Parts: sequence; structure tokens; C-alpha cells
Amino acid sequence: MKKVTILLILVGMLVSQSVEDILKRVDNNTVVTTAQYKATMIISLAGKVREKTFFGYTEGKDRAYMEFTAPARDHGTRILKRGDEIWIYLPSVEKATKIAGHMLRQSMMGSDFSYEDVAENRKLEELYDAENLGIDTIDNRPCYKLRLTAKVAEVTYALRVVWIDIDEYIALKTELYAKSGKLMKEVMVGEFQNIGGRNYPTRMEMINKLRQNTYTELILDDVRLDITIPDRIFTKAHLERQ
Amino acid sequence: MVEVNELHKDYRVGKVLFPALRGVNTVIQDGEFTAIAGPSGSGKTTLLNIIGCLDSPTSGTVYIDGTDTGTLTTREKANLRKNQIGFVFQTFNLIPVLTAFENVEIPLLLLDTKTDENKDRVVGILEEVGLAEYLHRKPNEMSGGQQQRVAIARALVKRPSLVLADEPTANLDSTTAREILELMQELNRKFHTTFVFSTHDQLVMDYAERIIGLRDGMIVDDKRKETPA
Amino acid sequence: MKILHLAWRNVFRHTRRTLITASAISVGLSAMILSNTMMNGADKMASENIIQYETGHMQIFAKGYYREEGIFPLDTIIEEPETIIQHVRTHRNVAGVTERVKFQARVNNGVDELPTLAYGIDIENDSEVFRIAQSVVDGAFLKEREDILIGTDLARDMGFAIGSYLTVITKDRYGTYNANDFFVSGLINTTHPLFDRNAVLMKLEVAQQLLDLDHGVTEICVRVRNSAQLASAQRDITALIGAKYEVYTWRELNAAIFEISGFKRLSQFMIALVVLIIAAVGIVNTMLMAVMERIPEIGTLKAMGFRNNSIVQMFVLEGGIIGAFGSLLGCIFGVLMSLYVAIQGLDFSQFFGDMDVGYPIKMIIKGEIDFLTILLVFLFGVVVTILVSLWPVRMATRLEPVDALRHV
Repeated sequence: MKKVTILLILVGMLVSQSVEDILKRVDNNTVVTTAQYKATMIISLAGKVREKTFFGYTEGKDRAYMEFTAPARDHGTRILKRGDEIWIYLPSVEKATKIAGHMLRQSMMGSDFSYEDVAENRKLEELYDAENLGIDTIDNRPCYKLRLTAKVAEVTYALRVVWIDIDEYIALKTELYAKSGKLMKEVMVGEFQNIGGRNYPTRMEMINKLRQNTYTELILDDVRLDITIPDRIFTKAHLERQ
Repeated sequence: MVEVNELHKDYRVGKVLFPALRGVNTVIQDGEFTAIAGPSGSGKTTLLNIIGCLDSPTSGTVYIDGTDTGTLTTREKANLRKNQIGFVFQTFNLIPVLTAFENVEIPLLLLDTKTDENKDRVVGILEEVGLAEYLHRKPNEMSGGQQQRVAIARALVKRPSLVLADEPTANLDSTTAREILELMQELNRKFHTTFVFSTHDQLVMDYAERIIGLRDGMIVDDKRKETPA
Repeated sequence: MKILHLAWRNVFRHTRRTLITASAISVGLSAMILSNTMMNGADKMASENIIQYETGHMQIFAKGYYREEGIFPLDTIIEEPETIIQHVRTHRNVAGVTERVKFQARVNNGVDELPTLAYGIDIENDSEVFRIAQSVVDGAFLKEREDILIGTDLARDMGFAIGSYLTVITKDRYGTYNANDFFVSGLINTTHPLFDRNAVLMKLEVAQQLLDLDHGVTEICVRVRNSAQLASAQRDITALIGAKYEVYTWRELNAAIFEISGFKRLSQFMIALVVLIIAAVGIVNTMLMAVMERIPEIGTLKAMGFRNNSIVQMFVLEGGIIGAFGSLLGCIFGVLMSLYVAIQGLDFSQFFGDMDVGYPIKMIIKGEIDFLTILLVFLFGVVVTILVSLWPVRMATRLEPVDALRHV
């Protein structure tokens, strides 16, 4: 074990990049211009496991669209994000309702993701100052461990600690902290794929550290990145279509 | 004085026109005690009702003390009845919720007379008809004869010039009927009030001074007695 | 006068029928009175709850803060509340002033999380305006930084007791998550259901730090001495503090609630009105029967020289007497029931459970009797009876006297 550690340190020194470079390469992998995907969400709460499927599109950090396909209860539920506004369409209501203010912080469809977690697609580099905490391993993979401290006021999490795969430049683990320093959530990336030259996470787990016995797993399929998505997808008319 | 000229009255029953009066002419002088006699359907009640302004004729005229009643409005007819005519009905027609006293008082309430004076008059007339002891009885606490006495008192209390009585004895036994007729006769003499009654009762005719015989809507007979029984 | 006497006698011709008709009217009217008492009581309780726990008589916001109910933006706050508070205190009708920070927060017990409305309160001055300190039923009022007060209902829902540890999660004015741990120092039980179920209260400084507000507050709350002159106080204070701030009265801030109340009032009144209409149909029926069975009598009266007007008068008076009697009875019953409700209160929780009826009152409603309304309801009952008895009577007077006499 000791040998491995020494090796890791050596490798780290060899690679010896600036933390800014590391963040930039992570952002290059995960901050996409557009994405199209199918997703399965496995929600575990106090021992009960539910599965929900949906497909979606995102464009930049301002536009996203999701539509649930299963279970039957949620079939046809659609969510549209445009800038700061999030609209939700329930087939039973046949009309879109705006989700505002504190509702954004609430869980999306009963999962550990909030609406804003799902919608977030901003460059870490722009939001945080990074500090290298050295090399660590996640599932035996060597990682850079970085402490990210917000450098702008308007940021959802004041502090993040991320474990970035040395070879693939993807955050295998992220801890999300409140301003007070309290750990709120943990995101674990279980699988990622190389799609169009990017390493993109396709299987991740969100753990709410403030609540016991609850986590949500998100699995993405058929991911296509940086394609052209028609503008009409992100319209209210499309959200409310019959 | 009542003057009746060429009085016709037709009733329409469905599409059939039924003539009740077919040209009646007569004059009844003040103070007369007159019976209009005839079988049922002869038109005697109709004649009485028209004289009393309760009904209007198809044609012809009725003068009461020189007034042509056919020219009067509803309100004027009501005034005429209020001031000059008293009615006595076959079925008595007392107001059941009121006492004998109150029933007799009603006609006076319509006149502008003083309340204490009214009371004396009501008590006086009820004594006159022999009901001094029954002032506070309600109609259903009295016999038929007593009720008719109240009705007569009610007709006379305002001292009308004319009293019209429609078969006043038809619902009474013969002894009571006789008492009622004697009472009316007595009051007729005492107050000089004109009495006209319709009847087909021989007993009534025995008391009448004058009997006008009516048949099929026409006068067939007009007899006067100088000295009634 | 004598017609009244006759009408009076006629009322008692069929005592049972009169009683049934009158009691039908009385049921309608007492329902109207009771509904009015209940709504008045509910309104009064709602008003008191709002004033004593939520807003005080008036609230001052930075201009643009108050957009719609249920939104508590932290981007437009009062940065320097002290100078405003000093200004407001100079107004002669002001009885108390305090500052508050109001924000949305989630309360977490380690397993479950509930959305709540959190308040940072100035523990020195809060009691000048609000009754929070008096509502602590267990434990103590705020003292230390970690202290938090929660409603008894919230405590029950989340399994908290005095000394329990909880986490408050919120976002500061820049949208950054912040979370603090607190210890429950006291439980409050107000008469305001939303407050007991939904509110957490901490010290002002703690809230300001949690939200990164420096010395800023979201609102300044004012209690006045004479609430009848609230509007003029509002005008004066608006002028006093300048255009950067806005002053709202508690009623303006809760317009939607009182709109609901107005609507409920209307619908309850409509139900009572329907009962009264049924009663009115009863009167029509009674009067129709009275007229029909007395047609020969009407003929007799006409033969004696009664004019139509007098006969109409007689029947209308008869209807009016029944109406007045029923209305009086209804008012007596209504007031008795109202008194019971006003003194004992009516517990609706058995019917509705802990259901949220969208109205800031507990399920025990204490009625509030309004005697002017009762007088109006009484007059209403009499007028309605008189009006509806006109119709059957007119029928009878149209008959010729001879037809009336012949009628069997």
C-alpha cells in the first residue's frame, strides 16, 4: 500500500498541473453546449426503492426540458427550465405551472436532486477558487482532491470538495457544503462514457447527507452531446402540447 | 225607495246562455216588508244580489234612493253598501274568529263613528235581538237561530235604509224561523227599515206585507196584504 | 287598528299552521344569524392572529419587496433599519416597533425535512408588537445563538422536544446554501394554526448572519394604539420615511384571505337564504290556504262595504304578524345559538381534522355577535313575509263579491 501511495505522489508530481488546468479540463468534459439523453432515476427512501424514467434535452446553463415516461403515475409529466424560471406540466392539470423561489430547492419528483441540481450546468472554473489537497483514491482510482471555494457570491454551494480522476478528468466524487461548512450532499459518479471526445458521467448517485436512509441513483442512456436541438423544444407551447 | 227597470241577467254556463232574469220591473217603497217568492232557479237571489250591488245586471237599471247603481264605480258601490244596505245570508256568514259583539261591530268600524258610541249601539242592537247574554260568544258556540240573530243585528247596527235577506230562514227549524221573522217584523216597524227577502218558504210569505212572485226570471204575481198575520 | 285586530284574530285561527310557518321562517333566520356570527368570529380571530403573530398592524418594506403573497425575496431589504425605527417611533399613534427577518427555510431532523417560514426576531423589541414571548408553552424564549423556537404542531410532526437538535437549511441573499444547527429552546402555541405548524423563530442576528444580510431586515413591524386611525398613521409614516420604503396595513397584506372570507360569507349567506326561500314558500302556501278557505268570508266583508285595500291590508297584516313572530323566534334562537358559539366556541376539528382551510384560525371558532345584522335580518324576515303574502291575497280581491259569496 505504501508503495502505491508513493507512486501516486510521483505520478502527481509528474503530471504536475496547475489546479486551474485541472478544473478547466473537468469543465471541458462536463459543461456541454447541448445534451440529449434517456434517464432512469432510482430513488431510495427509508428502504423503499422506486424507479422513474424520463428523457431530456439541455442547452447551455439556461435551457432544459424533461419528460417522464414511467411509472404510469408520472407518465407525461414535463419540466421546462428557461433561465431562472422552471415550469412543470402535469397531464392531469393540462396546464403548466411555474415553480418559483423556494420551490426550486425542493426535491424533483421525490428524488434527492433538487430542480436546481438538475438544471446546473455552469463552469466550475468561473465559480470557484481551487486548492489542491493532494492525491487520493476513489475505488482504487487515483484522484486529485481539490477544495473549491466560491469566488463569486451567486453560487449554490459555497464550498465543494471534489475528487477528480487523474487520467480522465472527471469528478468521481463531489461533496457539497453549505456556507456554514455543513456537508449537505455527496455525488458519486459510478460510470462515465467517452462521447464525442468528452468524458461524460452516465451513472451517478446523489446522497443527501442531512437525511438518513435516502439516496438517488441516476443512469443515463443514449447520451448525445453537442448536437443541434430545435428551439421549439424549449417553448411553453411544446411543454403544454396535447 | 228601490226602483227596478227592465232588469235582465244572463249567466253563461260553458257555451250555453242561461237567462236568470228576463225583464223585471218593480218599485219597493221605504219601510216595506217584502218577500220575493219563487221556486229555486226562479232568479230571486240574483235579483237580490243586483239590488244589493253585489252583482251587475246584463241590462236594465236599479235606482236606490234615486241613484242609478249601474253608473257607480266599485268603490262607490262599496260605499253604498257600507252606508245604506244591510245583508242577511241564508248561511249567516259570521266571521268565525270574532265574538257576537265583534261581528256586529264590523260595519260600524267602516263608518266614522266614535268608539264608545259604537259600543252602546252594538250592545243595544244585540239586546234588541235578544242576545244580551251572548255578547262574547263566538259563532260556533251559538245555535243557528242565535247566529242568524247576530247576523240580523249586524245588518241593522248601522241603521241602513234597506236590509236584503237571502232565504234567512232556510237553515232554521220552523219555531226558530218564526222567531226570526217576528224579530225582523218588529225591527221593521220600530226602525222603519225596508226589508226585502227572498224565500220559497210559506211561513215567510205569511209574515210578508207584500209578496212578489217570481218564476223563470219574470214577475208573475205581486200581492199586498193590508193586515199581515 | 281594527283591521290589525281582525288580522291578529285570524293568525290564531289555525294555531298549528301558524306555528309551523313561523318556525320555518325562524329556522331560516336563525341559520342566517348563526352563519353571520360564525363568520364574524372567524374573521375576528383571523385578524387577531395576523396582527398578533404575523404582521402587526403595519409593515414597512423596502420598495419593491412586496410583490405577491408567499414570495419573500432577499434582494430588496431594508439595509439600515435603525433610522427608520427611530422615525416611526416619533408618530403619536405608534405603540410599538420591531424589526424582523422573514425567510423560507427547511427544517431537518436528520431523517425528514419540512419547508417552514423562519423568522429572525429582535428579542428586545418583539413583544412591543407581537405575542411570541407570551406564547411559549414549554421551555424558554430565545437567549443563546443556537436557540430556536418552534410551534407545537411542527414539533409534533418532526418529533422535536425541548433540547432537540435540528438543522435549518436555507439560501442566503445570493442564493448560496447555508445550514445551521439549532437546539429547540422553547415550544410556542399561538392561536394561529399556520404559525404553530409552520414557523421557526431565531434571534435576529443569527438570521442576518445565516442569510448574509449584515444589519438588513426584511420588514419593520408596527403596532398602533388606535387601530381606527390606521389609515392616517399609514399615510403619515409613508411620508415620514420617504419613497425608498413602502408601508402596508395588515389588511392589505392579507387581501386574499379576506377575499376568501368574503366568498365564504356570501356562500353561507346564500345557503341561509335558500332556507329562507323555502320558508317563504311556506308562507305563500299558508296565506294561499288562508285566502282560499276564507273566500266566502271575503265576500261577506265586501257585502258589508269593505274595500279591496282593507282586505289586502288584513291579509298582509296577518302574514306580517306570522312573519314578525317567526322572525322574532328566529332571532331569539339565532342569538341563543350565537351566544353558545361565542362563549363556548365551536370545535370544527372533529369534522375536518387538521385540514388546512386556507384561513389563519384554529378549528375552534368563537362566534362574534353583530346586533345590527340581527336587526337587519329581523326586518328582512318581516319584509319578505309581507311581500310574499301579497300575491295570494291579490287573487282573492279580484273576485266579484257575488262570486266570492257563492264560492265553496
